[in-house]
Amino acid sequence: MNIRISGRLYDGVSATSTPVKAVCDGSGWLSIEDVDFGAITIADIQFSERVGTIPRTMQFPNGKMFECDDNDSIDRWLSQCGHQTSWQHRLERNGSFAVAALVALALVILVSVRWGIPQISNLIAARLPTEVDVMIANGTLEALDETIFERSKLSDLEQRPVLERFNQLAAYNHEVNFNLVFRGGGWIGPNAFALPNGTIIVTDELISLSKHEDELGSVLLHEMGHVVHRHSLRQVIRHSWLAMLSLLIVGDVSSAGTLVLALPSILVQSAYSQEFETEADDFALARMREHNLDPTHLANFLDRIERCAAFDGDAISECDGSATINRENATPQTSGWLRYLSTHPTNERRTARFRRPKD
Amino acid sequence: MNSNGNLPFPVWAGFQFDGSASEYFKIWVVNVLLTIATLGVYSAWAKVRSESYFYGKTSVNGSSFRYTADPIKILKGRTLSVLVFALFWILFNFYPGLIVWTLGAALLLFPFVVVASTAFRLQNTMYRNIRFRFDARTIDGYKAMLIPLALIFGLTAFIYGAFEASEFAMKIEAERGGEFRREDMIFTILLLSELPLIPYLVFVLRRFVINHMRYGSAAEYFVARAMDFYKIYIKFFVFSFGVVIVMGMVLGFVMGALGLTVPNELDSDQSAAIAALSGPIIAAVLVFYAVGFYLLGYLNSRLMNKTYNSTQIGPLQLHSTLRGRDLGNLYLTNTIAVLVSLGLLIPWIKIRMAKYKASRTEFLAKDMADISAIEQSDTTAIGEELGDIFDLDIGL
Ligand SMILES: [Zn+2]
Repeated sequence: MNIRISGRLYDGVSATSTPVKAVCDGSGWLSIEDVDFGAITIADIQFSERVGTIPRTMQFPNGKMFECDDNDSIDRWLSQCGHQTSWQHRLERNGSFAVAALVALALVILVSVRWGIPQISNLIAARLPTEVDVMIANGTLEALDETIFERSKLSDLEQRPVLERFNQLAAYNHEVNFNLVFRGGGWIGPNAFALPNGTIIVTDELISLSKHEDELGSVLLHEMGHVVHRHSLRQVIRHSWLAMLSLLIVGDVSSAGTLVLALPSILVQSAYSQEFETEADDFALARMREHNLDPTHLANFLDRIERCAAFDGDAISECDGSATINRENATPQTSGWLRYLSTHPTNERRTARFRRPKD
Repeated sequence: MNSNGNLPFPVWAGFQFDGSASEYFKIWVVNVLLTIATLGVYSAWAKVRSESYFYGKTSVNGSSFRYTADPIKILKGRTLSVLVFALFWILFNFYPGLIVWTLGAALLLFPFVVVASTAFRLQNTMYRNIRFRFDARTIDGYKAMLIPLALIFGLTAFIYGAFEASEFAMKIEAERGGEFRREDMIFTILLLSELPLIPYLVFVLRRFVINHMRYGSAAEYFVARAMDFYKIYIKFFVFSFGVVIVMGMVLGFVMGALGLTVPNELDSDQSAAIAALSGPIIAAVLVFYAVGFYLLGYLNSRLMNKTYNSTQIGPLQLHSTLRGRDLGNLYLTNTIAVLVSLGLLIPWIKIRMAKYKASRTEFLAKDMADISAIEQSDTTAIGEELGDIFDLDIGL
């Protein structure tokens, strides 16, 4: 049975468009009405893929091209001659598959963000030698000294007890080369940082805020927790996976804008870093119990730091994803939806764990 | 809709885009799912199907465009660009000391990426059975961008050198007790001195790309001047600056009227003051974003209009009448739609944008029949995919 398809013929020499009718017969031969064209067998024709309802083209070996909007007739001719519709198009026109795909997609994203990315990143981190951590830390202290920190104003006499306490707390661990440095906090104020190579930085402001040597000790332990659990390395790897995942999802939609992408990935990143803070808190809690220190010291200290951060009026942006440092004090936004944007668990939630009696 | 007497030719044909969001949505979902399921391998096929849809639904004078890229070539290019990307990732994360050199190397790759990706895209664009092509070689790209690149590198080296040699910075730093830092100063100076190069870079890039585009035997010509681009950017900066000042004044006035001050005492109800303060600040940030979309809409519409209206393709003249407030509306509502729908409306916003742009673009001419086809060879997909992963949208 003949199939007649109306469309447009382009000769491949000029950009003129000629309205024509193609006649396709059941044995796979095509000719064009009223045009000196001869007959062409289906095996010699290059069909364009069917994508939605875009015009379909047949490219002929003589350089000419036939274009039409009648996708169904072309598919009918193809199937008459034993050719199948592409599997992609069969999926793409299927409404219920779209719904199923959507559900699958949501599940895949949820599972990979919640479990896949953390697990894979931990596996990778475990396989990387500790030299990599040292590499990440390379030059970080110098960079921080140039941009943020000032020289410490504490005398040797003031530094010595802190240093002694630090060495005592660090003594149990022989794998990491812990090292304490003192700095003026500049606009960052009372704070402590852990670099992945084991260097821990405390600011003068933090030291002057502490009212008990175990308060400072608990913060130092928390920082050591970041180093021991290799949080910087794991964070770098997780963020890269996250970037890769969003690239896969959004693909070529550069026009959708980066802002649209930025918010969900900020949310996920802050969830990840809250997880790390909790892990470092756990580490500090366990060591404090080992050393018979009272965990409420960390709670008291965190509360005081928080009040002072508010006092400074310096709401430090916590979402800047600086990969190689772990900053300590949380911004004073403790309530409302802003909590989800914070890199730290809320202070109440954090301190509650330290105030809870030993179970 | 703009066929008034001021135009050099009568309107020959307007662009039309008649894609539908529901149809594209199904294509998009399949693309995303298969891309993730194959860990990115299907993305090459996804790209071809998505581009084919948008090209195929865009038509001028009764004929639509065709995207004819080979997914395998795109896959090869993507593999290479993933490797290059990984290399840069390692350099950025593990060798932060080399960051200046890394950025310099990336900048040096730029002309190659532009040439290769433009060539690939154009060679795979067909209209009425005639291919577009790009007749520049990589070396032409470097020649065209020699002056802007030399200016950027030279200026950076000069400022760095002069800064280090003079004791000016040290003096200020010492005098002000570390309040001004040398690094901040040099960064600010670099930014301020290289910002004025942006309009020139945009201009050079567009002139280079358009002057080397061919449709069959028809060459394309770009007739804008660098000055035109400077005018657009200067207006954009003046507007932005004005908006920032006005917004700052309004915010200050509102806060003053509400009797709010930045807390400077450690007192018992300071958290209440902060809570009260966060409302206006969040509102101000949101308004800033919204106004930013309109500023961006202004900039992009002017840039695109200037580019299109300065482009002649053989006997044809492109004509574009995008409006800043329309683009601003689209940017704003698109962003809200995508956020609220958790990304489900991404297909819809892409269709919407394509519709608007097509509705505002047209050809002015008399006749197109004398454009004849020219044979050409294929190039690899390497550059195109580099441009893709680094998101170098050259806006043509
Ligand atoms: Zn921490």
